[in-house]
Amino acid sequence: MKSMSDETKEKKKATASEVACQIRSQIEEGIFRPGEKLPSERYLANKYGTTRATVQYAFQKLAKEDIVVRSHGAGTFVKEADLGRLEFRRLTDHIDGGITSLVERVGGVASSIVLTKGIITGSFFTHKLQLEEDAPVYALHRVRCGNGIPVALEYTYVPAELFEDIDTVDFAANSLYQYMDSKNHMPIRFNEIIQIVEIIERERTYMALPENVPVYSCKFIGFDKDNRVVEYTEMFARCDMFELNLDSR
Amino acid sequence: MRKTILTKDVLISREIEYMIETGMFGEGDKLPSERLLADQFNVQRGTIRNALQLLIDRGLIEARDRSGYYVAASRIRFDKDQYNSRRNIIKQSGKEAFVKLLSFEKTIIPGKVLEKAEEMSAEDNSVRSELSPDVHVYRIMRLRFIDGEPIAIERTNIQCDLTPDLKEEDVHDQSIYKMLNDKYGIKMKRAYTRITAVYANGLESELLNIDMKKPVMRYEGIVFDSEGRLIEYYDDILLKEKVEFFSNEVDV
Repeated sequence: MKSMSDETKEKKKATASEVACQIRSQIEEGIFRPGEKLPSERYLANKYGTTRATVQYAFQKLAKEDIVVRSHGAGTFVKEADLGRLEFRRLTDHIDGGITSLVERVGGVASSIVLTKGIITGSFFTHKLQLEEDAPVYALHRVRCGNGIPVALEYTYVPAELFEDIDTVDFAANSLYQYMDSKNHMPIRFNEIIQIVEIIERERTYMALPENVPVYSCKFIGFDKDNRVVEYTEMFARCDMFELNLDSR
Repeated sequence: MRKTILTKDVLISREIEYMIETGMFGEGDKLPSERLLADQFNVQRGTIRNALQLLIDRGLIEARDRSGYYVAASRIRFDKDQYNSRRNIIKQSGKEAFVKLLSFEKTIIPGKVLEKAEEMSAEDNSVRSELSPDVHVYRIMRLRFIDGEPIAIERTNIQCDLTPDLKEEDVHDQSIYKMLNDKYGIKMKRAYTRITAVYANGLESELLNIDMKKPVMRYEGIVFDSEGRLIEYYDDILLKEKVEFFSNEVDV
């Protein structure tokens, strides 16, 4: 027979299922983001008025459901979104910029590593951008990442004269298209060419790409609302991370 | 040339790319010698060699032993937005098309094909594939040549109910889509397609004359006719160096 005090304790104490349920819903609501560390067992036990063993059991349950990852000695983390294969029909069809939105759509975090930026000239670039032959072109070379993993390499060229303060923008964290939009030169129509290619060793290194893994090559010219050419981009996206689906009529 | 954030070899490769794109050098043309290019750009020959290597890596030019550098053959261009027969696309590129029939059989739809067709049509509610597991298909495998070189293995499945009495000779060296139109009044209208990279298996490497495990392009699709009927599921393997997909929203 159970004593009175045991019964009241059982009533008050949250069960492992209840604790798991609470944490699950907080993860679903985005209070804890993918990759984020969850509070300690001690803290949660205190918060839910239960024992550390119960919290531990709840974590085990969530780990089995593939919602959290337990790392010995480091704590328990919300599982990173699995990027899977990012499906695209067009890498450029979203207002906040191709890869950023593709990554975010599957719950990932987009970021960039800026490899090179600055003014260049050259007839190849000015021809693509429909500029005078000696007009300045701003080059921005980036490795695009999802959850910190390189997914694409992007060489972008824009007319420097349209974007005078572009060099002051931090493109590691900010979207190029948001910036272009703020200057009223958001690209909205595109002419593009898509191929499957293998890239050179240096580029594979940037992307941590194993040898023999091919990439989609997308070369596109972006036009703003006044049909002015505002970008030329060559993008290389990992074939094992993206999937091109088309609807042709 | 001004001091710049891009290296000289990269910039020079872009200048040569510009010359190719604007038609200064056409398909199959020989480029000037390394020495001439070095003089023209006022750089060392080593820099020119690096620039040319970049263009080789990008597939824009080819080095021929003891002979020099030549502009590579242009790719076959598929319009991303407009579905068309392969034969028409190749003809538009000004190349010679030939397709050889490898196998032709009538069979119950393979489970894998059924699954694929269901999966691809599930993406859009406006189309529905109403395939039953006991539907019969013609399975046709053909080898596509351009200018005498094999460039694609085309494997297709066509619903038998809609195309009674399809014969081997109907699909040998002619456009299947044209034949479907002429013989059955079927007009191919809309396609859901997927383009991915895979590695060539034994059969594919042999037929396409490439190394095993070399990356190749897989081009799959389900095609509906003008009445919304699912006619075809195809699963092609193409040499990725020979094709590209394009889309032009703005005329330039």
